[in-house]
Amino acid sequence: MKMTRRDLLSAAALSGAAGALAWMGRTPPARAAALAGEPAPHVPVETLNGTSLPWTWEDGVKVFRLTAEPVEHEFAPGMKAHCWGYNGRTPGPTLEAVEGDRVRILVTNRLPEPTTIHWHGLLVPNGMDGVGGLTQPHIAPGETYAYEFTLRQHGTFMYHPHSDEMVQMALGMMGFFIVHPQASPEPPADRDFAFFLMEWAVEPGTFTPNPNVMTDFNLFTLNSRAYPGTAPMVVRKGQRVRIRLANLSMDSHPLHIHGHNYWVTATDAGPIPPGARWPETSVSVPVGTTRTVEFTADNPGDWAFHCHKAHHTMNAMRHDLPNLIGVDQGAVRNLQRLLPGYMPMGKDGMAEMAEMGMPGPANTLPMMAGEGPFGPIQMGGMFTLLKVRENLESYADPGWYAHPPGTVARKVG
Amino acid sequence: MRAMPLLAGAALAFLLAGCASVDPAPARRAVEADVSARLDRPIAWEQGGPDDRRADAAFSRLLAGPLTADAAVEVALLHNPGLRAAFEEIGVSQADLVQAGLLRNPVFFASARFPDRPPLAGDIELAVTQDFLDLLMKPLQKRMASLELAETKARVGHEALQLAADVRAASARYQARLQQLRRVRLAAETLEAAGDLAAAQEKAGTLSELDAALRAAAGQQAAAETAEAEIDAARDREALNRLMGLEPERTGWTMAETLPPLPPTDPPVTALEARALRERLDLEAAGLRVALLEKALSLKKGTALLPAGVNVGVDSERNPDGSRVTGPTLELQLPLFDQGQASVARLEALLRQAEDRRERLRVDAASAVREAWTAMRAKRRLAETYRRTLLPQREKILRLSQAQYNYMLKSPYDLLEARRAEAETERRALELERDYWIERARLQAAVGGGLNPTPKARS
Repeated sequence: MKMTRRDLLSAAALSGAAGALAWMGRTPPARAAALAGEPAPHVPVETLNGTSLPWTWEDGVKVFRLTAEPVEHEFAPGMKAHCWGYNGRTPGPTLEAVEGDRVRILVTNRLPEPTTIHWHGLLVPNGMDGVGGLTQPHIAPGETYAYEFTLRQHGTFMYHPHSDEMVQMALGMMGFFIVHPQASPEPPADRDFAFFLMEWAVEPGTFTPNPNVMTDFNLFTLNSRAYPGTAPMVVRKGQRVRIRLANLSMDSHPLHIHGHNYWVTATDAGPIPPGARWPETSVSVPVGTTRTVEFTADNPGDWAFHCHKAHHTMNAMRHDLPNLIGVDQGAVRNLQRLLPGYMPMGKDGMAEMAEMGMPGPANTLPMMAGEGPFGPIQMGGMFTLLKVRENLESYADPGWYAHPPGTVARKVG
Repeated sequence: MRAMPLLAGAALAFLLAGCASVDPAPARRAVEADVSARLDRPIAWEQGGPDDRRADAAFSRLLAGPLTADAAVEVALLHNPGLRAAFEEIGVSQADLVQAGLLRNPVFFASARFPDRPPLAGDIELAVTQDFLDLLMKPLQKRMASLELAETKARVGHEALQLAADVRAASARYQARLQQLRRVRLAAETLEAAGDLAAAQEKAGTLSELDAALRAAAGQQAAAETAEAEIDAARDREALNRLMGLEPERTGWTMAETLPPLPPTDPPVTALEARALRERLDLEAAGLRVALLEKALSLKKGTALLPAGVNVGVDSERNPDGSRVTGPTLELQLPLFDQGQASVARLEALLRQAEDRRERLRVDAASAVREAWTAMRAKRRLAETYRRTLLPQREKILRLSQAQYNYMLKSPYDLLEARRAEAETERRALELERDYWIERARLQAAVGGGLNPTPKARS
């Protein structure tokens, strides 16, 4: 679908990306090419806490190599687990290619059981769809299979097993497959982030996610990392930011941005026509789909970006505890004498727990954590930060935002 | 006639020479020394001086501080009225021995008969007779009486050792009970605290009245049930009071707080079985009983055809004509009808019975050693498993529960339950250690005193 320059400009205007024109003064190469209606060298995707997979050219085919294998994965400092993933990580490395590419993915199975890979959302020949038993034999341990097809779409897709998939996904087997457009009417993003949403059941004090759990998850992650183990998005003021969200967990997750509004621009079935896009501060990402949002980071500061389901921004919690809100534990005779290490907790809420710093069980993240410039942040799970700065030397974490005088809520009573 | 008293006196002096005294003290002291040696403990009764004063001095010393099992044994040996009564049997046997050495008293006979026509004077007859057979039988009877005394000493010694074992077991029971009582109360307190917490929750509106009532009931029930454990402790204490024979004003003693640690090793069972057969005092007494009956039987058989009585004497008569006739007298019981066959048959039956009873005792003694030893070893293994594995495990569980509580992954109820389980495990561990000491006391009694590897030289 070849677009003229006029089509492009009207599309840009319709899409509400008026900011695009404001960038003409310092147009990046990708954007300039796009505005000129030429094939764009795409901006690489940043899978925070993750990576993209390098490929090799072989006879005009982009060849990717994926190894399904057990991995030792760190969810955050202080918590590791025996997971399954690809190429030593969960989520697996992000595959990036361009619309029109012929790709070959060599999948080697180093798991103790058979596996396959399904290319979620990609339109491929039926025999390449990766449904074990239905479209191909299961890949036995030690075997390598080749998947090969031509990419006829662009957008945000996923790959995951379709063989004992409940167990394999619960243990962390998933990844992004991102297809960049050949030529796009869209103004390209300056920053292109990808977050895989996932839920896990890791009993406190254990080291292996439990695939049998259906609803009662206790660990919620962005790219298999839980706050405070999540890397922040560091952007320069005025940059156009794209965030791709994929969900293979058991719940939908409303991902909420502070300080900005975004447009929902695509699903795993492709771009949403500009006139049909809608603005959001929280985009609900249903199970088994991807959502892409875009916005201009025009508001400097340290902004929270998180799932708005409150339990999903907590780390390990037990869900059947007695309710101690308002309960005077000091009135209980002998409690302190019977339990020498006992500290009453929970009477006035749970925030005090974040401040106590008492030893917890092995390999378990405290329910809430994070220390900010004004005190404990009291968060966990699907929580990270969008750090927007006027000036940036690099995209490394710039530290806490320096607020202009008079722009911070203050105590008046 | 004038020579008679001299004759009799000389005969008596001869017969009484070397005769035992009626004082039982030496025989008692021999038993006491033997018991002390077997228990491997000096007992205060060896201190000399009058019995009562000695006992009093020992009491003020023993009952003053907290009692140990050893001290309780000593008190019981000095003061248990049942044992004191048993010791009196030594006095009885000692007197029997003296009795066996005494000649029957001579019989004096006098008669005066007056004629019906004077001038004749009265006919006066005087006689002294002595049972002569007695003289022959005395040495044999004395030997039997001394066998009987030895048997009594063995029986009394056995009773003292049995008492010592009972006191040891009772001490272990009471000591363990005191320690267990603390654990029982602690376990009850954890449930009461859970009840209080539930009440606080109900007050705050976070727990239903029903759930709070369930927790309250569990706590109240546990608190009430501690009364049962207190009754058991009172029973165990009274058992000790009875064994020590304490009068009401002496029952205010306190017990050492904790059971002693298990000894590092136990003696092997093989030596103990043989030792029991060699050294047990009830077996010794049974052997003496057999010897006594054998002696009685041989005596009966050897004297069956002797006259049952031989009385020899001097008779002097003054006749009415004034003349005096004096001469020896002899009285014989002729064994025409009773030739002792019934007595012999009776003694033979009694002898066989004594031999059978001794055999039964030997079988039981060896079996008791094996049983007590096996039980003692098993209780030790169990007690050590509790001390080394299960108790540390419970402490670890409590520690890990606390860590989870710190992260709000466990509730105070979970912590209280972990504490309760720990207290219950401690209670059970004490029970097993108590059982070890009880079985050890049984083994000591079964072996015949102590368990020290080198048997004491016997007096």
